Amino acid sequence: MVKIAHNDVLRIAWLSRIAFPDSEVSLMAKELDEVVSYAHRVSEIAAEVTVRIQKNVNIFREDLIIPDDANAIQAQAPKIAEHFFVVPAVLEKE
Amino acid sequence: MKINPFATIKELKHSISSHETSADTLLDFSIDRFKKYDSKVGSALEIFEKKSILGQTCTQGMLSGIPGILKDNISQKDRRLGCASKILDNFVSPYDSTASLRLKQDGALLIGRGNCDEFAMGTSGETSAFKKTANPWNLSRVAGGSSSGPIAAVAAGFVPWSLGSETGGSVRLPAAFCGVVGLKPTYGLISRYGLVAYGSSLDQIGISTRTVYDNAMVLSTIAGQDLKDSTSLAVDKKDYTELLNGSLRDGLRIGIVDNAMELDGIDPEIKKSVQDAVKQLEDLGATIVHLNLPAMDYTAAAYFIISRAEAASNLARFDGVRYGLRSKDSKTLLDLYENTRYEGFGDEVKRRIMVGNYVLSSGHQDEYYGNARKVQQAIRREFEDAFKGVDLLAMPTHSIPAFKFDAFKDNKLAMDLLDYFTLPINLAGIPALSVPCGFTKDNLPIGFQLVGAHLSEQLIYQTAHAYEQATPWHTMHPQGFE
Repeated sequence: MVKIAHNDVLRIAWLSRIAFPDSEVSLMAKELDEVVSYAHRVSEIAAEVTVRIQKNVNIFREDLIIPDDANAIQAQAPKIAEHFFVVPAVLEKE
Repeated sequence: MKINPFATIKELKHSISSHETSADTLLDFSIDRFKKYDSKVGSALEIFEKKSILGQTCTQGMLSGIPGILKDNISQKDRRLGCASKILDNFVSPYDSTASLRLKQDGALLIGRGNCDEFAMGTSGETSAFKKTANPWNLSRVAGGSSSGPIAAVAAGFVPWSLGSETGGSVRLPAAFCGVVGLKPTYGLISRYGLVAYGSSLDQIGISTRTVYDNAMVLSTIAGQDLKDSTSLAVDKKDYTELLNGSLRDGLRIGIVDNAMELDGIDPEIKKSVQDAVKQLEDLGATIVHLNLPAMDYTAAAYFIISRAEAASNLARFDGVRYGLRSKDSKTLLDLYENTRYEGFGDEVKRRIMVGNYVLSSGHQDEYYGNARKVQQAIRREFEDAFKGVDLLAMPTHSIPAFKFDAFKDNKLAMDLLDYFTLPINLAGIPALSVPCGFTKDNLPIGFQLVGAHLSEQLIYQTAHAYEQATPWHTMHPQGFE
């Protein structure tokens, strides 16, 4: 039986880039636990499966420059300056 | 001429070509039906202005002049594209999906955006950020998800066709709940270009209609290789209605999956209806073979892992930087990501991203993702072996009929497990068609599915059409939408 701890939730939330308030961490732990505990049953038969090595095929297309209208995309940006997407500072000010 | 709201595409095409009606009149009729009835169903997030819908380039296509609705995760150029989520607030798609483009080139009229579970994540249609979609057969019950809106619109007679998407059963399950036909095609048959990605190795656009023949007409329009989708199969466009003559193929063998029929908790009325459907196929000339697919018991677990892992990756792009919602007052870039994603995603989407990142995280990847891929291989092989002895499989689409809203509010896992019959097909990448096969004593629709090997859509349609023509289910429609 998997047991998801408070710190597990915080670690996964960090990977997910989602800021859960403290009040929701316990509930998320419980919900995560329920699903991953059920999902863990894949290990019950996985050992019996002979893995077939799949041959992947690359699909190529011509490397052509096709003109497109960047304005259609940039026009929807929350904040833009010239052709840059403007975001808050990457690093926190001390 | 009075238009029958439940007319088939075939019938409407005949009416247009014989000048009993016109595309313009039909479009007005459809728009009016949404205006009159959709407040109680909640199938559409948006119905477009009439002038902007008309203007197709083709008047001779298979769907020319016929209105339909697309799920809110399928791009339509210069239309809002929201995935029923706040995080795509006001986003307008700058391009058409290949499916949308092929429909427009064929002359089909794309009437609006269908409601759905947020980012196609759900089994009931209840996780849309905007509204829930009700089942036209019983408005206190769910339409099923995630393609709730487009399918409810077909069932209620607003439009004769719609496109949804499948990752784990999201066309077939609502189709069964709403008493209509729903196709999940072979993986790669319909281009994913312009379909917002959830689980890329599983996602496929699916089709919903009121009859099998209509479904084949829509597939004929949108299927076929697309160089913009590198997972698209090298298959030419073809006419999938060709073999629909009301008869089964000679010597057809249909396998009934016994362990599926004996599933713990399957509704007895559903089990009986599916057994009757199989008997009907036998009476039409099919040979019935009994078999088991033991790996089916593990496919939900494998699906949870694979789909959520891929979802965690695919939804990483929604970060408030380039489009959509941006959280206000974020001091740093990290705050912006974290706050935007917390505010913009609903609870179910957040849960699935978290599960996805957990199963891919250091120390867990082999145990979960690695093993899930092995289970996927196991179920694929079981289907391959099954199709050496039979041409098609028959099994229920669902284990319980459409349930009441909030029935699974406190038990999300139980709701996710309702996809038991649909998930294996998505993991195997094979096609399946859900077809109405009866009603419960409470007048809720029941559906069963015909499952085939890769690229067997034509055989599936032929078989389903013969069954449909021998039964009354496709002639029955919900009350209150006349």
